Amino acid sequence: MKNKSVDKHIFQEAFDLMNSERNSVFLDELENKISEAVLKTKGIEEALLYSAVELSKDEKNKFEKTIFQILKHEVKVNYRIEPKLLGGLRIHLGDWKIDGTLIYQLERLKRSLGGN
Amino acid sequence: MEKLGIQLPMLLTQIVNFTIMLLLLTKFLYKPILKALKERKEKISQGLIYAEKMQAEEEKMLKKHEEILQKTHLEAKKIIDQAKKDATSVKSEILAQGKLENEEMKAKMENDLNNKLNEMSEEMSQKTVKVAAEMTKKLLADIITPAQQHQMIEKNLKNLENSHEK
Repeated sequence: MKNKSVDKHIFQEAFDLMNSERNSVFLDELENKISEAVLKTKGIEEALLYSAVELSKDEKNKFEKTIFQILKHEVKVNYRIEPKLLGGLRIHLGDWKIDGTLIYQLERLKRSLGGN
Repeated sequence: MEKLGIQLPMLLTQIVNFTIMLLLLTKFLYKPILKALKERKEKISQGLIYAEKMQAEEEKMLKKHEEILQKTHLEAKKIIDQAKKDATSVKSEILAQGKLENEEMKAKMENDLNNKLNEMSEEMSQKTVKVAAEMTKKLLADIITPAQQHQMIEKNLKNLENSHEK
């Protein structure tokens, strides 16, 4: 029990570190690709949003509002739950894909450490 | 004379006989013997001269033989010395070549060993990262609370909003 508690503490710290790093990466990707995304998603009326847990009504509203502000047109959002994503969001809008999930960050970290 | 038993006619006859005998012996025996002796002496003398000549020739031959032997000996010594020099040179060359080959082999083996070590290290590193990633995935799935999940979603949404505002 004690070991499990210690493990949890260590992983909580690792998770916090990854989460803070992940957000900045997520933001960078968005800043770089937002104009490209607007061009790519012209005429796209359907979006896919993957998350590890179900989004609350407020979160869904916030996302839909934000995506409308970015694309300047309405899109129908389909919500999919994928527990293996571990956390965060993955957005598919036609060819435009943006990944802010923990599993994506973990895979990137794994690749950068040479784990293929 | 007669008192002594010597008869003069008999003596004269015997003297004549002796003279005739002497003349005959001289002509038919003494002279051929002398001639044969002379001839034999000449032959011996010639033989001696020939023997002396032969001895001189032999000495000359012996001297020549010794000279040849000495020359041969010197040449053989020269050849042996040269062979020794060549052998030493060949030995040095073989040793140098062996040393070079040994060093090359050693370098190759070291290189192979380093490559193998690097490969093993790389493989080990990849496996370690893979195992760590898999463990992290499993443990994160257990550790992250629903509240933290929504916290992450909120952050993602906020970032999305901020990026648009920028």
